[in-house]
Amino acid sequence: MLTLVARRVIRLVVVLAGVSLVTFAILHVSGDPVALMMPEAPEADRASLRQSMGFNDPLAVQFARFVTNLARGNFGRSFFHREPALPLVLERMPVTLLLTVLAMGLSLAVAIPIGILSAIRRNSLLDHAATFVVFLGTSMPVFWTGIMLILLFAVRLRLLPVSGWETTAALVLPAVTLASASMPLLLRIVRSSMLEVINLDYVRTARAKGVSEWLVICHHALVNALPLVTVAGLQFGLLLGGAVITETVFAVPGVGRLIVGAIRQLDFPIVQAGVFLLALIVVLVNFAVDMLYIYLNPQIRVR
Amino acid sequence: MEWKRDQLIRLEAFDQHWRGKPPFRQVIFRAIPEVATQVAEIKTGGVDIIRNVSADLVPELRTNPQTYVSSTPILRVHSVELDMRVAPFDKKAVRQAANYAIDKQTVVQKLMASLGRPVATTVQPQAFGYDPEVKAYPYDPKKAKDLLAQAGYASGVDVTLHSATVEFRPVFEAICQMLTEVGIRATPKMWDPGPAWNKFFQGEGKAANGIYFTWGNYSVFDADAVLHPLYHTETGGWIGKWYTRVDGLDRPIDEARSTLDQAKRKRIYSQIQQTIREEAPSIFLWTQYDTLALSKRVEYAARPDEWLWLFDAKPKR
Repeated sequence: MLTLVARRVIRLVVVLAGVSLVTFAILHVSGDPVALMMPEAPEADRASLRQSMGFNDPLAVQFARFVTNLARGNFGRSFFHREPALPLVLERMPVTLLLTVLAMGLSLAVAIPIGILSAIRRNSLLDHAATFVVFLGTSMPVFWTGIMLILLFAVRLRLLPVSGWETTAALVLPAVTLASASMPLLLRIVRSSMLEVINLDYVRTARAKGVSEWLVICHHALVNALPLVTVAGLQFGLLLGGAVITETVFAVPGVGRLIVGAIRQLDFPIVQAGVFLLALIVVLVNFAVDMLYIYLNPQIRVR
Repeated sequence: MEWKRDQLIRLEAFDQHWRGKPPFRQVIFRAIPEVATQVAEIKTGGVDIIRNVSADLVPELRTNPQTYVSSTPILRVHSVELDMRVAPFDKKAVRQAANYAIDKQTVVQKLMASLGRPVATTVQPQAFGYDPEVKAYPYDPKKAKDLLAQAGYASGVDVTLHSATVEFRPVFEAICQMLTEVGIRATPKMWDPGPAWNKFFQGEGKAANGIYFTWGNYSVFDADAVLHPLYHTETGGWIGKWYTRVDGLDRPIDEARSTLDQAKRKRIYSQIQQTIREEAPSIFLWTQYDTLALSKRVEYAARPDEWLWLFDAKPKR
């Protein structure tokens, strides 16, 4: 049990190190921030700025310096905002997390009941309708869904604000948009894993015992629909990625938009801090999923 | 009075301002990155002004009952800067051929909603020193082919052009197509602004036969604001190093900026414009317009200097 947890923790660290290395490498081949900072300056001035910022050192040395600073929780100062990068990212994290959690909650709230119903009433009208919506949802890119929802609910029906993050009403469209990206797959998983267990012997036994249908579904069948937990964990990462696009469409001031802007400006510290923190969240969520598995599935504990 | 980073800036009127009280007590600047969202906001009255409206949206926003469009020529001039160090643009004939190959009028009409004006050089028509006698290269594909043949490229030549000016992508691609039609087979390459900067100006520029370029004149209405930064060797930055390398311009540019004799300045500038047109270090294109879309609740007009002076905005009755 303890070794299992330890092994997962080690994996977590390895993944984070990998993410940092890849981000670092891609950023440093993508361009020269000094050229962006002082495009019209004489080459000599640019060279001296490059020197003073340490860009002339070998990449390995720069990476070592980055890792050393990172161990101290220091991601460096944003080139553009001229402030430490980490607080800038943390400042927006609540917005992105709220959006992601709302979307996750929304898609689970839809996927679980509808998924169960389509499994129980297989080939019913509801099941077919759900399948149709699933295909629709998976085929539409997030930014397009977002714009269509804006056109329908904000421009035509005037029910909700177009964009922003100042009022509660403004949260609705971004959350729904983002949820539409993850809901279809979750629904599919709920449906198929329910179908798998619903006709197993133990469920039949439970029914034979006279347990109410509702209890059979929730207590006996759903608890064994374990793939849902895994997929929901993985989907969380997907949602964080989708949040980047959703934030842009709805002018939401979150981490995603900060990172996209920073990539344009070659603002290395912000990109590194942002990607690292998002990766950290994804890794932690998946770690939590692993731990949840140990709790939910006694077989793992034994092994 | 309030700033939420990446979200909004809220300003409040200062009543003791020397110009008096402005018509609006509050101004809110909102950051909305997605154009489709901006358009939806202005149509629903969520915002009152949106900036940099692209040509394809102009007809829609003109006819919408809620909105109107205000557009004005600004100091920004577009061109394709040619790399004069390497073939084929090391030859003047090829550079001129490229200029003859572009049907500027058609591009402005069809792709820019007529919001542009063909120019002869990079000197802006609204700038002091602009010489209307220096005429823009006419569209003459036959002449372009002849010049190309003269330069030794009778069977055409391959080039790669680069751009990071995303909102003018269709225009850039049309230019490449027009060049291809006369025999300068141009492959368009679009870049993200960040990495592009490097590609164009920092590396040795090997693959960059030319770049799509715009110059905003620092909002200064004077020929010097384009000539000195782009054509004087003293600046030493990326532009004068590989692009716009016309010899012998340092002296006249210095001369014109160190005298107060306006007639003399005008004379020098007109001489420079003739030289630049003849040497054709770029494919000279057109001026840009600044286009605002406004809600009918607000009365305001776009300005040639691209600024937003909202003191002048009034509520519309």
